[in-house]
Amino acid sequence: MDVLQEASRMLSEPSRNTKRKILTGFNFVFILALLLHLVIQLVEFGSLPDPARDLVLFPIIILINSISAIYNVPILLGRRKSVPWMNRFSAWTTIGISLLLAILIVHTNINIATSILIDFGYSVIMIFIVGTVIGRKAAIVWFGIATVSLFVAYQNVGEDFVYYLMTNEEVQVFEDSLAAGNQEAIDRVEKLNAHNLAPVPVKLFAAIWFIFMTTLVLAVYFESNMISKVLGAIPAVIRRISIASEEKNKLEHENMRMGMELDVAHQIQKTLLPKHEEWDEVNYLNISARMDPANEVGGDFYEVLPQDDRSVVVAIGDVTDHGLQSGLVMLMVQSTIRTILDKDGDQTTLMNAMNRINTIMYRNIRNRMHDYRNLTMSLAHVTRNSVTLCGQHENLLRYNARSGSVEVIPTDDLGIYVGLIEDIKPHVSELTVDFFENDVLLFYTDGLTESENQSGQFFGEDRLIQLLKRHSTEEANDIVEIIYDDVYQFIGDTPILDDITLMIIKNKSV
Amino acid sequence: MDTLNAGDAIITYNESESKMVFEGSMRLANMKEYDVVSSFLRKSIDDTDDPVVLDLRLLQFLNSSGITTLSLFILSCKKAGKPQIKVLGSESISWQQKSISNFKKLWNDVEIVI
Repeated sequence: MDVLQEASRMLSEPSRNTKRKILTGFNFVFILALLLHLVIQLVEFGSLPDPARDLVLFPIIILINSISAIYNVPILLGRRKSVPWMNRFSAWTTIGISLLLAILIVHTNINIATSILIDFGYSVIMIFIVGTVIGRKAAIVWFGIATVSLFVAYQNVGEDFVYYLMTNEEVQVFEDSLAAGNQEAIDRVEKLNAHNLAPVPVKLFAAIWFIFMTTLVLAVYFESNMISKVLGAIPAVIRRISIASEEKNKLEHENMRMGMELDVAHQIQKTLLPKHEEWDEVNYLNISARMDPANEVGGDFYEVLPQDDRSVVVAIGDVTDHGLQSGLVMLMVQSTIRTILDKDGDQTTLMNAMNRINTIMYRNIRNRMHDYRNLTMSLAHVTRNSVTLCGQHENLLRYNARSGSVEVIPTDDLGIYVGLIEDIKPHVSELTVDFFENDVLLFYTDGLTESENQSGQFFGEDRLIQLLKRHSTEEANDIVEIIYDDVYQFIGDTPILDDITLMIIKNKSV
Repeated sequence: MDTLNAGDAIITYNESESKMVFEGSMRLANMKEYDVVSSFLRKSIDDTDDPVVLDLRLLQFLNSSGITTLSLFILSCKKAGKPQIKVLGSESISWQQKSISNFKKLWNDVEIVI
């Protein structure tokens, strides 16, 4: 999890189950209160005074609250995952039935006057619960319904209605008269009942308000707990946001640095490759070479060094890995090859040159760069009628104009990786093959044969052999372009994963 | 048996046979990414004096950084003088035709079975 995700989790965690906790608390209070009510009724009166309410409505309310509690408690304990439609169902049914109860209390109560007081105490709590569990719009709707209900109840008792309260002594005198069978007292009770104004004991008020307060305190407890937790989390969240911001800056900086590295590496690679003007003077050869770098620079290179005797030394190689370091290795190899094999230097064999290049590269890469990059490289000495090959690299393809066939010349036994071990002398050898008029040499790097199409197939050496055979009579430059076109057609939109290098040398024997 | 997932390749070390089996295609982006492979190889053979078998017959592709990683592993065994290494390869896999014999050039005691 990254730091921003963590910050977001820290902020949302306190509020994650707040609604559920309030709803579940509400469910339990309701279930307990209604059960208590039914038990008291049975104990006190021996029966349930309002069957429609006590035998139908209350059991339904208890059932709905029980379903909601059974669903929500395991989620709060982390033993079950929440289901969106059940979340909505439990919240809406619990709240809906509670609101229905509020309306019924006021309009079907045995004392419509006192129920106004109770109902609107209840409405205050419900507005808070509805707003928290469902949303502020629902709270406003309930506010509207409760106001209408209040107005109706107010109309029902009449605007002239006044609460006359009695002292304990007056209540005692009245109850004594009633017990003594005083007709006046009996008439009064009947009249009160007819107007839905039955006397209500103060302990009932106390019990009802206690339930209301418990509900409210639970809701407030969870809600304010959430707020204080959110506030408490803010400093840690800010720290994480600033860490994320620093990481983002670092990343941007790193991307920029890598982009610059890449530009430098591209530049090294492009600048150092020989230009065709350098070999145009060798008129018996028709040479063309091209290197297409991968997005992330590899380490392909080639070299063409005309000699004093009009022969030519060529080199082709591939440094392992990618990026600036590989570009640097390539730069060093190129300089070393040129120092040892350029025309003004001492004459030397390819084998000696290969061994010397290896040792210099090993010392530079391992001892100075403290790196393990190495390379495969072929050196070739091309004359009017032969080519001498040294070093381990990809196969050399030679089109034989007399037989019209392409010969594959493996280089595996001519060397080993350059720069990996200090002394490669025992593993280096040379091979000389004929190279006559109209023969064509094709040097390549593995980026070419390992070019992959969208279904993961390699371009392969066989396709290359066929192309060379088919186009051997074309100019070297055209052969190079034809092969590149074919490779790009083959790979389609797949990005180039490795540098692709190709060199064609045709013997014109002028 | 210890296992390492490296890109599209899986390396499994069977300690009882001292055999390291490579399967799939391994073309991690650079030498640094191959550090996990080097550590896995080194950790696996750390205590063993028995000859270790590197079974590459199911490794269809290995890029040059991967070949360098295996080469360096062989050179480190050569330096330590142990364990002896036997490489199982396949002639039909092109990277192996070219590169597998180099392991013997790096250390003559390496046995190549192809």
